Amino acid sequence: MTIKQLRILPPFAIGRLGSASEPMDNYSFEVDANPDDPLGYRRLKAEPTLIVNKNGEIGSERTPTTLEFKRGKKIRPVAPFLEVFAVNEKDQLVPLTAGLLKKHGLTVKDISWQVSVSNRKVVRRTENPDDLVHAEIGFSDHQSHTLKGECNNFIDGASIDFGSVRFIRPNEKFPEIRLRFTPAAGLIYGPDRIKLPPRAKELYPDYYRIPKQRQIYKHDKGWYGFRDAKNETVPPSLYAIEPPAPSWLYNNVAISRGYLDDACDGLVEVHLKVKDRTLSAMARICAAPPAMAPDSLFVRTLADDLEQVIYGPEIAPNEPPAVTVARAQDIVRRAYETVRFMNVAVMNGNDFKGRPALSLDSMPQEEAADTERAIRPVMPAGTVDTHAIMTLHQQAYAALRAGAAPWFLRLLRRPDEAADFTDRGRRKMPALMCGADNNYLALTWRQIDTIKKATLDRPVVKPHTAPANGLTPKNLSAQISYEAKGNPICSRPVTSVANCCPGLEVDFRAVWRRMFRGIELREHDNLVVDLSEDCDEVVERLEDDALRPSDLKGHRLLRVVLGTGDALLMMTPIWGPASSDTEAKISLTTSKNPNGLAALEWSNALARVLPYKGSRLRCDFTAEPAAAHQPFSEHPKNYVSFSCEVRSFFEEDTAVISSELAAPGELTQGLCSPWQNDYRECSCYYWASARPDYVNVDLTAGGLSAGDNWMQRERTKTYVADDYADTRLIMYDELFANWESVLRFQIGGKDDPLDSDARDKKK
Amino acid sequence: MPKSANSTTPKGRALAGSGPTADLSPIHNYKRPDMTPRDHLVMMLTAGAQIEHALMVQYLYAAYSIDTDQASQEIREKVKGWRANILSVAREEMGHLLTVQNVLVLLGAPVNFGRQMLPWDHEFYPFPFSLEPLSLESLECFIYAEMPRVDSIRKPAPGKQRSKSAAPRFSAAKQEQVIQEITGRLAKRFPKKNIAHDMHRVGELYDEIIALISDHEKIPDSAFDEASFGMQAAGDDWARGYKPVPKLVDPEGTIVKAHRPASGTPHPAFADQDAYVQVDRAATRAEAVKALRALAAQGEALHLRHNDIDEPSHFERFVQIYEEFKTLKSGNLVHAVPRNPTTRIDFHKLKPRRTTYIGVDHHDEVAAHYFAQLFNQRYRLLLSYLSHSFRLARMHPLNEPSLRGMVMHRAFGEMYNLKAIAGLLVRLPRHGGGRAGPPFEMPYTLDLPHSEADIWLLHRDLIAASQKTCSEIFRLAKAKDYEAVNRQIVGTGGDVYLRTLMKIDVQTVDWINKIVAGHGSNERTSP
Repeated sequence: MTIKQLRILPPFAIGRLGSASEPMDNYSFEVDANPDDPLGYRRLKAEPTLIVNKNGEIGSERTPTTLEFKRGKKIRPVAPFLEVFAVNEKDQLVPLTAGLLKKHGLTVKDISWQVSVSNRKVVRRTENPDDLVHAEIGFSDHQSHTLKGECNNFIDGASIDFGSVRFIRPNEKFPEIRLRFTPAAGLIYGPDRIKLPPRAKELYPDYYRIPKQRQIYKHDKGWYGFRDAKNETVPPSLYAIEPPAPSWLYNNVAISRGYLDDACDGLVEVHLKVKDRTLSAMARICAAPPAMAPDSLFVRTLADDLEQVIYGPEIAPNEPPAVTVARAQDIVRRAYETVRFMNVAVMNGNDFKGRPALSLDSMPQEEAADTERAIRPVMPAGTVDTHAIMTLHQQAYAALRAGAAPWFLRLLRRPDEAADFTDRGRRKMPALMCGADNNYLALTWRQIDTIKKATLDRPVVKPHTAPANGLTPKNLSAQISYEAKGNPICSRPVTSVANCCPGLEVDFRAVWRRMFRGIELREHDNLVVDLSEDCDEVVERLEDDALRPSDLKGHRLLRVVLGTGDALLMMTPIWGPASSDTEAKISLTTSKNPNGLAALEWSNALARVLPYKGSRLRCDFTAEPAAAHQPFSEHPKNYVSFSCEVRSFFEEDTAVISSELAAPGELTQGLCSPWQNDYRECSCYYWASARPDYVNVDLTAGGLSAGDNWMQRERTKTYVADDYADTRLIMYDELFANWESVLRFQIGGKDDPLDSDARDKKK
Repeated sequence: MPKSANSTTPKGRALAGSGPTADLSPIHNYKRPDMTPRDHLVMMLTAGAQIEHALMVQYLYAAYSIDTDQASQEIREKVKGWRANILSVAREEMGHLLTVQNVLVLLGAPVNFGRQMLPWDHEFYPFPFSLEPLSLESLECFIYAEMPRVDSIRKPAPGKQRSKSAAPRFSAAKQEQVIQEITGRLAKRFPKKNIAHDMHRVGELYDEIIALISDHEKIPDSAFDEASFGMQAAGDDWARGYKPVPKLVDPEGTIVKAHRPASGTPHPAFADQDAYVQVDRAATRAEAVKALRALAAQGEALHLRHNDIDEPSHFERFVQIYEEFKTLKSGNLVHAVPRNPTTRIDFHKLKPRRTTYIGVDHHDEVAAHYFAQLFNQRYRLLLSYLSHSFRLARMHPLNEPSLRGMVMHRAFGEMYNLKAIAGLLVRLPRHGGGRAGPPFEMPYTLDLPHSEADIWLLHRDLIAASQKTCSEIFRLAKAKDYEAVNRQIVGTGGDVYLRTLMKIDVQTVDWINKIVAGHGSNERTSP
């Protein structure tokens, strides 16, 4: 057998932060495990867990009897394994093992690793390259190597511990070549010196004091006290700020506390010296918050977006109807798995116990703030109750399982309708949640096409998932969903949310910025923020008297014209209801957005561009720099055209997101710094089944739902609505100091009974 | 002054005879002398509601009978388009049904979810009720029921102008030709009947209703209860996913011309025509008239329409299907579902030629029988929830989650159940050949109990009956000699559906028990 190439699988592995010394056991989940409970929560199933002993070998494998997400008050990190595969002469992927190496006259010592991870969250805000926190290490032994994140703006000798990597020593029972990434503890770092806010002891007695050993950022280097970013993120000010917080309640004043976290993302490379050449392979890793509701999936995940990248926005006409229907049913199931964690009445924009909806956080409230229109509930206020809405979703699911073709295609929001704030638009599905464009969430085009095809196909009696096509070098989807031995399901993209505004595990918007060679767009809209040094060579002008490509900074990409002639607009109008006519709509404009336009999220907007990798497409940019969104106009013409080469999404012949699209740290740079801050500020209407809202839900004597706010300290079954000030809720500093203890895993929609903190509270 | 028994109708037809032996049957446009005008109006509205209900289930049956499992993609898309359009019509009839209920509430009259009230409605009933698979014959009846007045096709009603942007799908000549063809064919099919007398356009009834409700003398302003508005069914609750695309206006409220469909703009593809479910409330006479006109216009024609919504009328939809149906060989386009299926042997014996019994006498039909029974049970639940939602409207504020909203969701859930079970039924075989069909059999009563707690107990009782049916199906599936049942329910996916339904029902019973306990009826929380 010949080793032609190497691969690392999975090509993208998610580690989950936690400070417990023992990593989380391996687990998966099952749907329909109990035929008498087809609507129940996915059943968590313990799986064989690899136990790595002190000398770096896998000493044993055991399947736990119970799944404990915490040990004491510490969350068990998820430490994924990455396995090395060889592509043989038959183009098969086979595990690379010590034995296979030996057959080729090689040994384990011929293997070396290079790991490069970064945290670029501060750089993203300050645009100061000295704020980059980077760790890089090369090794070939089997020791555990700490990923020390260093930064020019740290005090001497200081670093952030990004976790560790270890080349697992193969042995007879476990001869495969693998690496393990153990993420960090979820700690917060900060400035070496601070000045407490005025009257801090009196007003903010719980102000978090970072332990001395983590006071590492030079206080005078810009991040501490940073404010008013020139190149703002969406949402803005995603960082821990000096109280009072959040900023939008206090005149949008957001002064950074100078916090950094130990989340990161980057690349793992393996190298194998074979005679006179070196074979290499690469994979990506990231460290993310824990999956707090491990038995539920979000309605749109990173796996959905990656599937669209691989297969395109349209389902293949020859896909067996049984497979399409199974996926359509899965989407509906995930919809009710999501909605059951939302207090729908509050998220709907209802007044709550007499309190005005404007004082509470919801999509209607955001919409009102962004467009300066009066807040109003999305659905009629009297009809929204979590239990009822969830039951309705379950009824729809039941009908689908009976073989009924989906009847709700027209009720699904198209991605280009995300900014339709009329009642008709807002009530489309998925409802009440935020998308990556900061407007109402839409599914991927591919998910929508799944529903459409299931509607039009011949009836199906027994839907089934697609048969496993086998792990081959060409099967990118199989590679992305590969289940490495010992890896819990929460290390896979199917458990990562895709409505990245900014996201939880990664900010997937970041990968699209450099889709056109030579040009860098902002991750959340169509503004050109940077150009490569060779952009005048790689971007072609299509008009003689037009700008040079290198002049495009500050301009906006208006549309892309495909080879078919179809034009993809990058913006969509913002519609709202006309005040005087319930059957009419108006364009919603503001002084900052005089044209009433919203940027489309890239994952859907550029989905049809990807097949043109390596080819050129016409891209129309604004003829002038544009601070505000501009519409595309032919008469008068307001654009200039360039021919831009489309980059490949993946590294060639692999399922690894191209390094040209995202350097280490860039997949997480848009996330909150520290991420704990986001658990306070980004409400559940972003990712309800990952950052729940409504937990321990039961029925009252009135037939309505009652439960707790996931963020409320005392579980009273009386929901505490989030106004960002209610002290019954976990606040920022408590999260910074004690997130592992105060955040509770949800199992079956209830606080994990094995959570010692939950037990203590009950006492 | 009430008119005497010898009064003529507005059409000038004198009542035959006079005196105590005079025929007092309600004839066209004439009320009985022992009824007030308001009562007569309520009677007609009640008939209207029942007719909407009857039409809706007949349309549903026809839609469910369509076999979308066609090998040819072209034919599959065509018949799916038929099904989609007939289901759209059925949804819109649901809107009509609720609108008529609202007008009843406005007049202080009880809501009514029945389907027939012989002999009161025979003057208005469009055609004899019959659940039949889709065919040219059934389409003829549908078209007849929904067609406009022939004399209105070429000229709009007084005071109305046909909007250019709401151009009809068919030319006036075509419409007249179809009507003539349909009428001629019906006359041949029912030679003993005087088509003009015994089959009725739905629009006729609404013409009568509108004429009467507009009459200030016969129906005084005091007959309308403005305060009932909040108790009526709202389009926002019942029709929210089926509203037209909002028209674009500028900041001054003027329609932006650029966004109006230009004259001659092709209509959307037939298969893509959405439903526009109109559920209108009324606080005044004028609003009631407007709602009723809109309802009638949606059925038959645009001449009564006041807006520019580009959607076909029911008449146009059925004509389209009719024309397409004629061009295709109908043999395999519909399932071999029966006429008027029934789960009751006694009823079948009463009307052996008009009904098809789906029974338990043959093992290969047992599954169909129980699923048909299940269908009836969920149908009854749907009607109970609908009726209950109107009762609850009196008690619950609209601006916060309440049981009324929850019951409304339950009604929607039951609609999904009916869709699912109907889909299973048309795949289940009958003994001797053919497939089963959803029977839509009415219960013995739709009256709700007096107390609120008892209404909830009624719902629970109905669910218990349904659960028993589901359990019985599973019991038989495992029983010796009933292998056919197991084979059929597994082969259709019915087993998976039943388990899901049973789980939901367990949750529902739990929910109801909590509500009943909340009413202070703890001792009644367990059946």
